[in-house]
Amino acid sequence: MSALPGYAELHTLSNFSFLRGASHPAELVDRAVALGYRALALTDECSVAGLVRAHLAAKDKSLHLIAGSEFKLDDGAKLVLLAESRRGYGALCSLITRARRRSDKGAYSISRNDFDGASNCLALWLPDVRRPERWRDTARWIKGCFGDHAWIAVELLLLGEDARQFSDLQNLGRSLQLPLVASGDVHMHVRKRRRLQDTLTAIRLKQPVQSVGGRLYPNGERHLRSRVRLAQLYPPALLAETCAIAARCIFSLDELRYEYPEEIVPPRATPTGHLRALTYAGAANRWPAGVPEKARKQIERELALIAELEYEAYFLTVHDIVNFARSRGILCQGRGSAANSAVCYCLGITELDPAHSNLLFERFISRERAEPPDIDVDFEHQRREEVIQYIYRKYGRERAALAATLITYHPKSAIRDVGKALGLDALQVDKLSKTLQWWDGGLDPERLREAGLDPDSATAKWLLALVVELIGFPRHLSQHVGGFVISRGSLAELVPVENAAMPERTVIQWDKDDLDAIGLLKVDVLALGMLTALKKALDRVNSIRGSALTLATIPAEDESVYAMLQRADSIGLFQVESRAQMAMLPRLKPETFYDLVIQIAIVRPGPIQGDMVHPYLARRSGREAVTYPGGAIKKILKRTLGVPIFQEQVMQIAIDAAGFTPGEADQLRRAMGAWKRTGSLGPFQQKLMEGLRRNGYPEDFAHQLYHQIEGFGEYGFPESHSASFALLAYASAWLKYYEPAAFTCALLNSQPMGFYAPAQLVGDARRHGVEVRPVDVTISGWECALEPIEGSTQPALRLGLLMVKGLAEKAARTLIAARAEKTFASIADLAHRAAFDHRALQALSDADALKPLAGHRHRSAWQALGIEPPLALGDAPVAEAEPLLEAPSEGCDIAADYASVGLTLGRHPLALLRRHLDRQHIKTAADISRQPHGRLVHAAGLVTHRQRPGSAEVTFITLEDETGYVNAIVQPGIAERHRRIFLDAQLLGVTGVVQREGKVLHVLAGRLADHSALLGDLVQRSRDFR
Amino acid sequence: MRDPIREATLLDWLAHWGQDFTSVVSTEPPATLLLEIGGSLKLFGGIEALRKRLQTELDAQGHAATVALAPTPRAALWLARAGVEKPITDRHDLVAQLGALPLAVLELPERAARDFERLGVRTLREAFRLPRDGLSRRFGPALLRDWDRALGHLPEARRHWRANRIFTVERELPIALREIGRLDIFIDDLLADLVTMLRHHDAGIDSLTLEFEHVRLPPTRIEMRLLTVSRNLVHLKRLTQTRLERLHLPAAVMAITLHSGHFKSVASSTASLLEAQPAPSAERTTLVETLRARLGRDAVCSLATVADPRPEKASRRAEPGTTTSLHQQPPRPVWLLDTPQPLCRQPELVQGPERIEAGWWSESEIGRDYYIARTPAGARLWVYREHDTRRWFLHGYFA
Repeated sequence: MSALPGYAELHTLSNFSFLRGASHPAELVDRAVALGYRALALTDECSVAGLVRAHLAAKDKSLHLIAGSEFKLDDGAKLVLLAESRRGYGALCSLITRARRRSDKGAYSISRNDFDGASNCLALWLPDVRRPERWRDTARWIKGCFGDHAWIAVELLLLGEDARQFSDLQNLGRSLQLPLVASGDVHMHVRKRRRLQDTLTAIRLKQPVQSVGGRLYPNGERHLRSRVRLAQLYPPALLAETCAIAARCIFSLDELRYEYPEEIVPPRATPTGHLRALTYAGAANRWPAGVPEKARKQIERELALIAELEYEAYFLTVHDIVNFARSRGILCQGRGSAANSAVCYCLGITELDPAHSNLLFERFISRERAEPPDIDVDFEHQRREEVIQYIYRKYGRERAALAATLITYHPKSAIRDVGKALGLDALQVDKLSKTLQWWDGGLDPERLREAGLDPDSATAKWLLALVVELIGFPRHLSQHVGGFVISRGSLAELVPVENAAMPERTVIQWDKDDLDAIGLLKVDVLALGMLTALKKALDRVNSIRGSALTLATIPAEDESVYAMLQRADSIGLFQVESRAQMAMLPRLKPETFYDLVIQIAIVRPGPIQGDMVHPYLARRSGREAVTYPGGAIKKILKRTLGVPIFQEQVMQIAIDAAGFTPGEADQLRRAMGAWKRTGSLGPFQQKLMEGLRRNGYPEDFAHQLYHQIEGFGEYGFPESHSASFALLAYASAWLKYYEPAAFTCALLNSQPMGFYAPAQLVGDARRHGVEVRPVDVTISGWECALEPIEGSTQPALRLGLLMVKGLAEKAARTLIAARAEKTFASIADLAHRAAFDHRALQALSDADALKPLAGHRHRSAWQALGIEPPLALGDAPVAEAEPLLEAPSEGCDIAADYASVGLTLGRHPLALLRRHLDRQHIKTAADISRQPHGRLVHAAGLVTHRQRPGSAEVTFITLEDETGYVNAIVQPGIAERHRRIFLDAQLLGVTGVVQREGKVLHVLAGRLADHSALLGDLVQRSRDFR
Repeated sequence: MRDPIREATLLDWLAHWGQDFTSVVSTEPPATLLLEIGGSLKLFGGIEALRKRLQTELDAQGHAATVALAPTPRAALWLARAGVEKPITDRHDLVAQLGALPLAVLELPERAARDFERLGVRTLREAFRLPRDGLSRRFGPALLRDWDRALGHLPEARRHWRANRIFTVERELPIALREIGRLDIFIDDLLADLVTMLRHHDAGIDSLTLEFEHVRLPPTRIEMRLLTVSRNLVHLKRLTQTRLERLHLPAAVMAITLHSGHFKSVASSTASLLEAQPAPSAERTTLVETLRARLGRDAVCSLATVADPRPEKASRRAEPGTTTSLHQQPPRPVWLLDTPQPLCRQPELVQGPERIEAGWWSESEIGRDYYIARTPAGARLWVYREHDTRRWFLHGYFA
């Protein structure tokens, strides 16, 4: 190999040139290393989105990586720019930003004069072999614009006339004094990806591959070619030139240094001084009687560390945003390791009092680890936009942008796109992607046949192979849910900024992991529905009780609240309301705040897969002794009874017991996140085992710990997040227990959110004695509201107009305003004064909200249908004969309630069907809850949830009837056998065996039956019309 | 799978069949046939007998049909849609019988159907006992008109079904003729009749057949297809003329029959007031028709290029006049062998390689390096070496 001339590939597209490149950046890097390339330039089209990934891979393999980008100009000319230095990189990013910002999402536009400022960049002109007549003109411009920073790229791709084109380019180069350099127009790391590349082209052109023939590349030469091949194709001078260019490009992403915005510090103040002043001002509020010595010490320790790592600006930025939210009455809460600090408590970023738990807040930012501080701030979901707009206003679009989220191909979308590209018809593709909702790494021949595809056909073979390759490919950049990057100077010098799909939104080309890897800091401005609900609930409570309750002043550690949680009475609560959480509550029996922190973290795939749940429960209930394999471990695991539950604990064990450095522990954390993809923790496994052995820990313990770490996988849950969540979970539980009407009201007004639909929330409230009143056009406001009841402490809950399907808020507001002037005399009066067209009226009629004006639904529908547009109506009402319309049956009313309001205040539909169900020996949920373990039962109910936790094989189905819920477990075999029923039935019958564990009860399904037709019969008043 | 075109054809065919029972037939697509049988009852032996016969014949043809009878066509239509086979014979029974039918028989637009659902109305009785003025205001007057028609309160004007138009005309010759030249005059006559009829119907044709009857032998037929729909007499005459020139008659002709193809609508260009300039392509159209008339239909075609990297897939035969844009490609020989010929050794290569790897999505995946080669005599060849076998093939000649 060494006798061969050196080579650096200077023109490489990865799959971040969406639907063009057919290899991941890391694959390209690995291949370039294997081929002994001197360097590799990643030059995705008008993008550096894949650069960080390539950078990490290159760093790992010690490959010289060059940052660059390919551009296609408006006049058709193409060139590659390579960043020579940090300044060149900045110019490149600015150029990409300019080209992207003026176009729609995903597109760009660039012309010759845009390149005038592209200094410190090297240009490779890519002559279009099909249009030699334009070469001279373009080459002249290149030479004029870039001078001695310009080359002619010679890409010999065996297109038939390579030799002639080469000699033409040589002549051109000589006459314009432009040097020639070899490059490869690389689209894939190996030739094998040719078929995928063809498929990507077909997907891009939205046509089957059979009919895009002329636009496919004729051959697979656009891969990283061996140096032997290159030496045969190119004269040595052209290969040597690649290395000369590579040697000039000395920029590395490692040079990027992030600088915080300046304006968060007042003039003449230092960041350190300012943060200190704000912290102590906040501390005075938190501890009006004086800051306790312990807290003061902690604050001092934290401030010192912040100052040392120069993180003041980060805390000040978060504080500024939180402060703005507070000034607008927007509820928010921070979470993350840094958020749970005394400083953040003082700054009002979190409500978690660090005095509550010493251990929890010990670990906050690690000096050695250089781990960037991590603060996510959740805001009320309905008002987060105000915060985002504030950030844009304050820092400007040049300096603030959202992080990107990389949307990648998942099995379903891959099947869809590859299927279409292979020319399957839309129906087949649809069927395939639908039946394959759960991809198990292969295509079941049976499914293929169902979709009308022969499993042995070539098409099926390609489909499978290409889908597997395509899964995980990036598809486009979307906006991160709320990760803001704010910089001191122009952000575009750091990373390109482009338009998001949402108007007025801009995103950078890197995602969260990229930012993390490069060490750029972001502030997560997230939306949380529960905060909206809590804010609304607190407001309602304060207004009816005349109190001034806040998150911080909700009475802590209330026994009745914990008793409720222990009963798994948790519908509507934050975090602990899911099926799995409900099953855990009676077993874990939370009694204190910290129990709740554990409860939230333990019902996660990580602890479940790592087998941490049972040991913890056994130790907690005293069935198993709490032991520790050593003193160091005891310190770390004492609070979780010797069982590692949190990510932080695993890292701490690695440090204290296995001799990891904090930096290595951080790498372990990252590896834990990635091991699902890579399949191993690699060198960490050995290091961990050896470290533990060396420190005298038993082999069993080491194996168990490693198993647990594996289980954590990407689901490892940090204690710091769990603690913040627990605070909100507790607040929601307190409100549910003491103020169920206000709490339910707030939940309904904050929809959509949470695990349960309004029907279940209202049903739960009614079971807890809350009186719920129907939507009423003469009373209801837009939101649900509370109505005092004489002699009762709990008010009634009145459903608001927002529950009415198909009614716009604006129309409802007009109605409310008109009603405030004078009550409505009739539907015609309402329609006239609120300017309601008959569609809006129909919506009210469907919801039975017109009852007080019209009697029953059928009459109100008749009247609503008779309303003509206001203009034609004038003032004279049309005199009409009374129609003969029967009142709807109970079944019809119930069905209509569900269709419009999403819930009924009448009987549960199954109550009406009960006689019929009795005949089939189907038991109620209440009955089933009294059955002994092992008893075979028939159950049936409305399916409220179908849930397959990411880690589990089985599916949990919740059935609702008039007496409560039955939880069924469906194993894959059963689901497969009754596939259609399993997926589609609304009213599902389950025959199975009762499984009991303590107070938790499931029915393990053996057979499924679809009773949905009975629901249709409910609506059918009479079926004997013949 | 439903196929709307087949369904329409089938309904058309059944209408033909219906004419066996009555002259008054109408269709209600997609799948209903209405027969006015008032006048045929006696002929077929009364209602029940006729009903049975209809049912039997339909069954025999393999149709799952409902036969409904009522005093008005609309009532019968609704009964059939509801699957009610019991005949209504008395007008006075209509209200009661129809009233029990579900609203679905009206096949209302989705929106109206939903609105009735909102009113809790499921049967015709419940619908039509609502106040007429109110009903009309909410659902439009057509609904009540239909009801009135079904009850026979309003007459129902249905468009009678007619067979698809074709034109057949026969001319007996005064004496048996063998010389083609002397047939011209009769044929021109027939064509003139045809054109008159086409004008009358504002239609044109794109095919016609001439049949020459002989005494003992089966008739001689010539079939002609036009490239465009036409009713131009001169055009038709020229076309037949060309065909007649090549015609060999086995015996003397006794009679000539002209069958037109289905009447079709002519392009509106003929309605142009100026009508002086023929369309630019008219000349070529005539040329192609003339060539085809002489050489046979398949002998004349266009070559279209197809965007496929595989050389043998890069062109296809197309209808004359098909145009495609040529995409940019390295040099390709005009004469391409249908099947590449293996070469025993590597020829002298002058240009290349052009590597082509494509077609993996089909049965014929190729991987080849193409070159331009030269024979000792100076001819230029297009050859390739196959990647898998490393063997050489000849694929074409450069002119």
